[in-house]
Amino acid sequence: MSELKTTPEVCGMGHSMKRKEDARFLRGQGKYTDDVVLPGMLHMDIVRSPYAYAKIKSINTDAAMAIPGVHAVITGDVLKQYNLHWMPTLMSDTQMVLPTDTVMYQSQEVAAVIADDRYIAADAVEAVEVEYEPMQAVVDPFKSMQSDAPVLRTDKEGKTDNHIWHWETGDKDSTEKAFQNADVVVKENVYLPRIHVASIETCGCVASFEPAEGKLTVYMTTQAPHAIRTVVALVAGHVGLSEEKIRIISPDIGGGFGGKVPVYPGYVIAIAASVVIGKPVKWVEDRSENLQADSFARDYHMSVELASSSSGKMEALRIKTVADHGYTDAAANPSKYPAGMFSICTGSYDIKNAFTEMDAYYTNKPPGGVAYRCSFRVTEAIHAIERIVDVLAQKLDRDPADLRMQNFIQPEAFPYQSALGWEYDSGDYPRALKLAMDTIGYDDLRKEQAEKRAKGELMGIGLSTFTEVVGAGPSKDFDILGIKMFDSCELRIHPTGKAIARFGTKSQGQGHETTYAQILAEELGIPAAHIQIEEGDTDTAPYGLGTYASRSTPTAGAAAAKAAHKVRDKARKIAAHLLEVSEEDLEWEVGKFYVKGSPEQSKTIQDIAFAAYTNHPQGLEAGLEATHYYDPPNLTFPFGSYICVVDIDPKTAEIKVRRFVAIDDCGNIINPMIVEGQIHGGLTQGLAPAMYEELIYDEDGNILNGNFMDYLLPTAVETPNWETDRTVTPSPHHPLGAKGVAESPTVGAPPAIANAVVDALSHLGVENMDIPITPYKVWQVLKEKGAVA
Amino acid sequence: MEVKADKELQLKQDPQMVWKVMTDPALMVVSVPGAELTETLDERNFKGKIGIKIGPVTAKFNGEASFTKMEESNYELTLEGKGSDAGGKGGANMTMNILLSEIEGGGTLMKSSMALSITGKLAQFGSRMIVAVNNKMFDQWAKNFTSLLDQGSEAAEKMADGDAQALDGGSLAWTAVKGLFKG
Repeated sequence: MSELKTTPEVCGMGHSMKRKEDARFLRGQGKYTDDVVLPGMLHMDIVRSPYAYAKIKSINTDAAMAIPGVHAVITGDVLKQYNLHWMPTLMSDTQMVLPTDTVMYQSQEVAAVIADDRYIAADAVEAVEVEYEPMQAVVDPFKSMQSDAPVLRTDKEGKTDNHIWHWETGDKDSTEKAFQNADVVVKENVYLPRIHVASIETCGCVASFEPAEGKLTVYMTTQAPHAIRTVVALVAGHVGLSEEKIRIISPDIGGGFGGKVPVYPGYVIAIAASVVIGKPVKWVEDRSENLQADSFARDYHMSVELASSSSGKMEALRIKTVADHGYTDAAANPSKYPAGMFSICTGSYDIKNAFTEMDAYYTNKPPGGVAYRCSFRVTEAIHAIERIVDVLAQKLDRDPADLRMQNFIQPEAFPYQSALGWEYDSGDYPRALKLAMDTIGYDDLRKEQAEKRAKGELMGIGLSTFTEVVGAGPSKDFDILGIKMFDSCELRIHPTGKAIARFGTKSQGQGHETTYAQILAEELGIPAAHIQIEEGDTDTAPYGLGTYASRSTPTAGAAAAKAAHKVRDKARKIAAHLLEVSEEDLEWEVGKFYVKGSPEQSKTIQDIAFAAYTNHPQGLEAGLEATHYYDPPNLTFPFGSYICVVDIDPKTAEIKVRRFVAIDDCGNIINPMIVEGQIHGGLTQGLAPAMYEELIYDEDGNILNGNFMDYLLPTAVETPNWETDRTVTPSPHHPLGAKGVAESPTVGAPPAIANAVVDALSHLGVENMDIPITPYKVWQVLKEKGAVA
Repeated sequence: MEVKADKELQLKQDPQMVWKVMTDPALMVVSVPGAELTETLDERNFKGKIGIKIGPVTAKFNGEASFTKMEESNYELTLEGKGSDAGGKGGANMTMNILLSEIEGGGTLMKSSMALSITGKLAQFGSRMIVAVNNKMFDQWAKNFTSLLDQGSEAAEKMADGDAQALDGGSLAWTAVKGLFKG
């Protein structure tokens, strides 16, 4: 955005307005699910399986029930009486709420205790005696796919293997032909390990059923409250819960990142318990439960091939993937996309031939996988392409920046049709990479690297020039359980010219209360400080599919602009009435209508709002409000160029990120400070899997790092200084020219870091290293290559 | 998760004496820290309990053990045990092979190799911790077993009195942690 259209008082787009919500967050006055306390509220705690795969021989609840203060112990058999022991996943697979005979992964819910307080509930959990008969777990998807592997989902009639689905897209034949005719082919196996969505707030809910009215209210950590309401109505309709009597409230949420999209069994058990007992029931996971049992992310084994001419022109891309979904496919993708938007894997490059296929398998691990701060499997796709481009550069002995420049989709080629079916809306990749190279001093760094290499020092420079696909999505292609992925804004202007707007999305820390207000301020001239934003209460907010996949600005942000335009259309009629001119004679300038050629004759939006309630024209409805459901015509394609410099201690293999430059382009920016904050957070969540995070299971399905002592997350100490800047290439189809941004850095950072480390070791013959790249892994490589004793 | 350990222990008594004590579950059990014999099914099969506490996790395993190999002629013994925690915290399987040989000039060399497979909460401590705890348990058992042989029934009674409680967790975990950093 080149210039500001509004004053700092109005604070429209482009102003770094301080976040309105921070007033309560910084004072510790945010209201989260666990802050909800209702009269007579009971507490729930969950008995979980120690085994990854076992028959349940018996559950003895006598000792637990004998503890004073225990109201109930709910087992699968109890839920079975109400036919609530199974539920659908968002991918139309099925999942146990509580088991009646078999547990399928370690930490799976086995029974739930309802008690007077959390401590009694925890004691009673210890007192529930469960007798198991362990069976040999299948943990590795490559074993799960073998014909002699035991069939895990015996609950599915006629199931004879562990295969979930096959998905493919692209032109297989033309790709095959291009590979056959190519001068150069590179191939690499790239694994993106299973990781955990480590939100500060764990999952939980307070379910409150009022028997007299038959009304259910659920305070819940969910990123998609409206969808949850409909799911509850569909799943529990048979026990008398109908949609008008279900109210889902998402209070403040301490981070979602995709992990709060799925419906976890705990929610359903708490709801069932409240309905049966007739009292409010609170369930809040502890940290270990959150880490061990909730939906994981990633876990893609990708075999990546890239073909090029001898001059480096990329000609074809082929990726074959094995996806480990754990016990059930509990991903949260749009229905038509079992592998999410993985087909963005051609990235920022003009590759004419591409084919990708994927097979998903069941294993005895927790279900998933969610789109952890990424628009449905984009992180996996971008890691694959960004790694293989570097492998090609190494093979051709080309500079990786130079090879990227040669193969970029050029700015004049937009809108660009990708080989795998996307229409990229806008982009200027060479400009972003050039800015990143200039900022970091690329040529000097290469010289320094050559000098250091001659002295035996290890230094690497890694690039990642990614394209994202966010903002699901156009209703012709995007739905979740049949509900189209539009989003909504309902806007009301008060008589004194202030406003309230409600949305179908739900902030989990993104700053919607500020950014949506700024969008409306931009479009109406009402100061953002005087626009109240509400989300998350299904009784008051318009229907929407929620916040994930960087969709809020592309969908609900656009809905805000459109609703504002509808209000402006009506305001024009009222202004014409007040100024006694025809509508056509009026011109809009931020905050007011004036008469063409006579700017002193004007009415402000505040004048008009007051008139809408006190002096509205004959034949026009009173009031000033509008609702818009925005169905985007396309997705948005934010992009970026990241460059990372690492130094590796040749003796200890310690990896130090010396510099990290991130150039992002998310089109027009609503609030630069919030965007920068998002990028800092996302880069850190990209550093984490690149260097630290991985959920590790042994061959029996035991998690070996089920706590934060062993599961490593970077803190401020480990986090390098992020150097951020941007280019602005507006989206041509979005009403504000904006694109989503929050996930770009999570997608773009891991390959930049991996490429930097591999680059530091490339002269030793290293072509690929899977993340997390730990000092131990580097040390092993150095040892293998004879670089250390 | 499976951990393996090979151990050796030198004893003053001759193999015949060691064999006799070792193959008597009632005698043997008193030397195992935190263990209790609850039922003898026959001379090769019996039931018992063992308590262990590591950090925040207390597990009480109820299990069955069997001498699946008992060759007195060459003093070779295999003990297989499996158990699960009553509170559902997990399970353990163990196979222990023991071979006794006579030391020249008197005494017995006991060579044991053990494979321990653990599921559930204890496994989450990771193999390094479990190996360290296992080493500590072996050391305590070896000490108890040695004094059992040296002092006979008097020691057995003393141990039986003191051993009703679970093997102490705090100090055990701490010893294990110290072990990790040693050398």
